[in-house]
Amino acid sequence: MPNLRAPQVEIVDLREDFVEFVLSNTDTSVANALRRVMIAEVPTMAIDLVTIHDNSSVLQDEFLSHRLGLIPLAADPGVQYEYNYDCDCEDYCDKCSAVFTLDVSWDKKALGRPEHMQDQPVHVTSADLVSSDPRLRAVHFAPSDQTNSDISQDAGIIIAKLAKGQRMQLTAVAKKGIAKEHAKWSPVAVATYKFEPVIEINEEKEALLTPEQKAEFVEICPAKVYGRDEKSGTIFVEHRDMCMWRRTGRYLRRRWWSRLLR
Amino acid sequence: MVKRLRHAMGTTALNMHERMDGLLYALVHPQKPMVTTRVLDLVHFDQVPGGQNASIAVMSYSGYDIEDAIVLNRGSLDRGFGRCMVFRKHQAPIRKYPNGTQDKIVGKVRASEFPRGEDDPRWPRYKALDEDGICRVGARLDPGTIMVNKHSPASTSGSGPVSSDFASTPLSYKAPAESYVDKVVLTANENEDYLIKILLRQTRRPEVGDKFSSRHGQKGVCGIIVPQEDMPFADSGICPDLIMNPHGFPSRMTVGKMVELVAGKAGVLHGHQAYGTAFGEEHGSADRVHLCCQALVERGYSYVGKDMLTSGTGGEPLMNYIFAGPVFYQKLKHMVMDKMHARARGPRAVLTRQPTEGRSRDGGLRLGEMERDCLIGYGASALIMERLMISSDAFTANVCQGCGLLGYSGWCQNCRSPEKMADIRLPYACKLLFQELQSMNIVPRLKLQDF
Repeated sequence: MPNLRAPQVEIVDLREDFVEFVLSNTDTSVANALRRVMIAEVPTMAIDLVTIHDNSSVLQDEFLSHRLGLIPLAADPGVQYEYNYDCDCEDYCDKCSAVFTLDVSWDKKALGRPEHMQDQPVHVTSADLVSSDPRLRAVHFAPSDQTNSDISQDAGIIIAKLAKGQRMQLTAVAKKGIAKEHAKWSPVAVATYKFEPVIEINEEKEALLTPEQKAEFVEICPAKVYGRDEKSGTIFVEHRDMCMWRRTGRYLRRRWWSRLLR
Repeated sequence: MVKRLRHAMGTTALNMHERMDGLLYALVHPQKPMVTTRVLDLVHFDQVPGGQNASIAVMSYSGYDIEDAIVLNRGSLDRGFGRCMVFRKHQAPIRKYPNGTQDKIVGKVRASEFPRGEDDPRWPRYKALDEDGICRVGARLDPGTIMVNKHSPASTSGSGPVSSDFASTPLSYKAPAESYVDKVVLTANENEDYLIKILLRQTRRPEVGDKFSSRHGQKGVCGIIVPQEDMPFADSGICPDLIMNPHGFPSRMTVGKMVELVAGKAGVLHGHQAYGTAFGEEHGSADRVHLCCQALVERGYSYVGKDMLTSGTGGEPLMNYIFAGPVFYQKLKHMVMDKMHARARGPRAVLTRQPTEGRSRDGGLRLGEMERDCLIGYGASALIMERLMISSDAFTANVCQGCGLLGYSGWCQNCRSPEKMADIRLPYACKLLFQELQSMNIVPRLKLQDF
């Protein structure tokens, strides 16, 4: 029985938008609790209240508001907001919310375009959202040198497309919340864990194989779990985490050499 | 399947939002199907899509999925799965009458016209009206709100001096949930009357009781909505949008759905649309199952399309491999919001004095013959009395104990005397039957007894 009160965390990979760690010396329930909290109970900011001043696009107001809500917002590290319902203010204020404004019209955007692109629709993206709080803004997946250039179509998350003469002007208030209320407040795209598989190679049986058979065994695994030592020719487990029983084990088990696995 | 398709919502036409349809259902984020067919290509289905690619898992979950019910992921609903818009047209004609009068629309009603201003309980009904007495585009309509503030003349027929009295005959909004005004059109009908058409818009997210269907006639209503963290998940973190009970398969033999799932999964993993056409092998337009299986194995998935899932609630691996992948799901237009109905008190039919029938007339829920049989079998006589008479059409009749006929106001017209009159309680329909029989020269006589 592992010590549930002293779990260990070893960080394997840590990037701005990704973390992978090994959790050990604990129970699955702890791993699952972490996963569940990451998905549903970590507070984030998301657009929650939209006032539409002008919308002549083809998208209806509710449609647009829903799309705006789903845009992930990134805050600078350490920035704290109050929950709107805990805040002392009447409606909303700087302490509990950030106001985004968006004003895009086809006429203005298409003006600076080259002749042949004049009639094409203008894309309204998350890059058009102007934040009242410089510490909070819509995330951009595109490299920073490409954002705000009209020619690049992959700058920001697309909200709508405007045809000639159409305009979109709105104010959106972002508030703090958790994903239990609405999935737009979920900070993760994916939060998951898997169990470390135990793979043991039966050395007695392995010794009976010819080098060709060993090579075939290594080759046949589609997830490339096994490797082969160049000098001695023995099979070893190379990518343990690639293996979940059904993915590869079952595939192998259909063949005669499945007996090789314990 | 054709029937399901007809009930599915999606893109009805490319000009759907320019039209003024009586009733229009539109999906908020329709997608082109992951698995397409030759026919769907020919009709350009990817340009007029009618559903969404749901990631499904075929397993039992929670017991709220029996009898074809499906389990939906709340996270998916938040992100727009199955979200739809309902457009409904309302119209008000401005009539001209034979005596030269005509309806009129009375302009904006202001809060200051009411004694208590904005706090006045009568004011919210007039909130949506614009200067011209017609609701504003973009206004929110709560139940009871007036859409067109129409007034009709008190007298509309005959000639001679025309009275200048008008009575308020507004077009008001009646529905269980609020709507928004999408469009207002002023036009004329064939009688050259002015006609005001109002298109109302409602955005709905799926709720328990809404109906969904795959393209294989596998329909089911939503039985429960489960938070995303409670849904089972794969190693990759994918969790299903929808869980379907495996009991739907054996008796219905919808092999096509399983093939769609496998082909769709292979298509997703390799980034192309799969082909589900059954007879296109020699033209190469169909994806064969064994090739799809190979494609799955190439990406490290099981060739049967099953995945190892982990329980979202307990955190332990599920003890079976779960058949999971993308399947194109349609939202059918049968939604509970349009069907829900309950009544405590309400209107009654004039003839029988029994509660009216049907949702549109705010009718009662009938305790029918079979239900009555159950109550008789059980011996619940007081309950039968209550359901069949007291809560329905109880009536106090005057009966003459001398002749056994019905009288009224303590007077028997047959005996021409007020003596021997007694009050009894009976269903109005029963009294009606006696009178109808009398009209056919059959005389039912009531013999009363103390009890």
